[in-house]
Amino acid sequence: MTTNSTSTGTPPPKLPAPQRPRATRQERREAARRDQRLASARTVAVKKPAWQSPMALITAGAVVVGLVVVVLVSGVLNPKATVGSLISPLRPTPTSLVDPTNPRALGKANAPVKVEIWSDFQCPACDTFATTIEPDLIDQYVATGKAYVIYRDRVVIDRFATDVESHQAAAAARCAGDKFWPFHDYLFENQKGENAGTFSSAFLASVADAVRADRTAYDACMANGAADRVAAVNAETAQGAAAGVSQTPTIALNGKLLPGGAQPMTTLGPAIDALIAAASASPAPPASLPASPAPAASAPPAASTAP
Amino acid sequence: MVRGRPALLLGGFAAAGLAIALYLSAMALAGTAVACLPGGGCETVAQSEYSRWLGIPVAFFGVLFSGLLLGLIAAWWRTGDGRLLLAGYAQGLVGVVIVLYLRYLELFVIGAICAWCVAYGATILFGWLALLVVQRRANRARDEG
Repeated sequence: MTTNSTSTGTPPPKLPAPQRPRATRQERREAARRDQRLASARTVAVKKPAWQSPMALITAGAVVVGLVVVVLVSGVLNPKATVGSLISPLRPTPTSLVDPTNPRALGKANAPVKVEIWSDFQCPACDTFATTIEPDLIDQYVATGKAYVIYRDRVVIDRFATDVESHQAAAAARCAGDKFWPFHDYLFENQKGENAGTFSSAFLASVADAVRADRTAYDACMANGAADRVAAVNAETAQGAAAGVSQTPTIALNGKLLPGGAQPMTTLGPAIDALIAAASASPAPPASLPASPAPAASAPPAASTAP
Repeated sequence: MVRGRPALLLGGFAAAGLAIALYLSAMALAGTAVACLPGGGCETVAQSEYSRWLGIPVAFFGVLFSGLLLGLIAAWWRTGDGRLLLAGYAQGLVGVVIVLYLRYLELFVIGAICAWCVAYGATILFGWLALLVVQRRANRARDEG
């Protein structure tokens, strides 16, 4: 009689699984390497987008740094004080020092040293002198009564009949009357380019407003007397050229020309001091170049007389 | 990557820029008595308010910039350290941005062109372009290696 497990419901006893032989160390190592190779092959390299590459990031960073430098040095963060679109002079000439008998002169006429400044309102070197050296000259020598400063027109920038801004600026400054020195300060503070349209009639009128010049007198002078003023500028320019003023700025001390250029105070100061010492030793009146001739009543406008 | 010829080219640009900056610096140092001559041409750019940053002539910054760039290129040539080349590339690009701004000032604000300043700008621009080419070749060589 046979036993049928199904008929009774109990499963047949399981036979123990045949034991595999234990893998050697080498076999285990080879299996591990095989698994690793398979894992590497399945790994998909994730490539970064181009914009995240080191080169792209460094490029962007360098551009940003460059722009930051440009912003910092452009003065955007430190805007200059302006009157409308005009830049106010940083060191305005004290109007209390203006000679009441000569609006283009500062100090006392009997000062021991006469300083003549031959200049062109469009000349950048003259701008350097007017804005960085002249204020010290005025503070140290004019305010203390040691020097008498006279501004002289010596146009060098205007060349052709169409290049007239030096003449126009000089004429306008003369038309400003007793506001000559504030006008002079604004012109140099706002100098930009050479005959590039900066010293237009409208600009010069805005300067007249900024310095609170008598606009009625100024407008009449510019409309009716402009030719006279330009003739006066030309005459003074010719006078300077004849006296040996070939470049601007040129400084003359008691009539003697210094080498052309924006002479620093380290040069001017000792030269003036020497003249003061000489004057105190032998008090002769200070010499100067011949005075500017009076303009003709109806002289026609003249072109630049640059040599 | 072979560094000899690229370093020579890059160093040449930087050295030319350094020489121009040194010349402009010497002119700025001696320029306290610069004057305007009849007819203009009195180095409007050199005398403009934009010729100085923080009271220091711009040319001095050019000397520092080009000197540093030349140093980076020389160090890269000697050591082959790719990071030095990358630093030179970044510095060159900063210089290009600044030089473009200075050209804008000359053309549209100052209204005058300084030939020496343009020459210096050219050394910066072309030097950076050369750095870009060399840097990309270095990147390619590294990826293929």
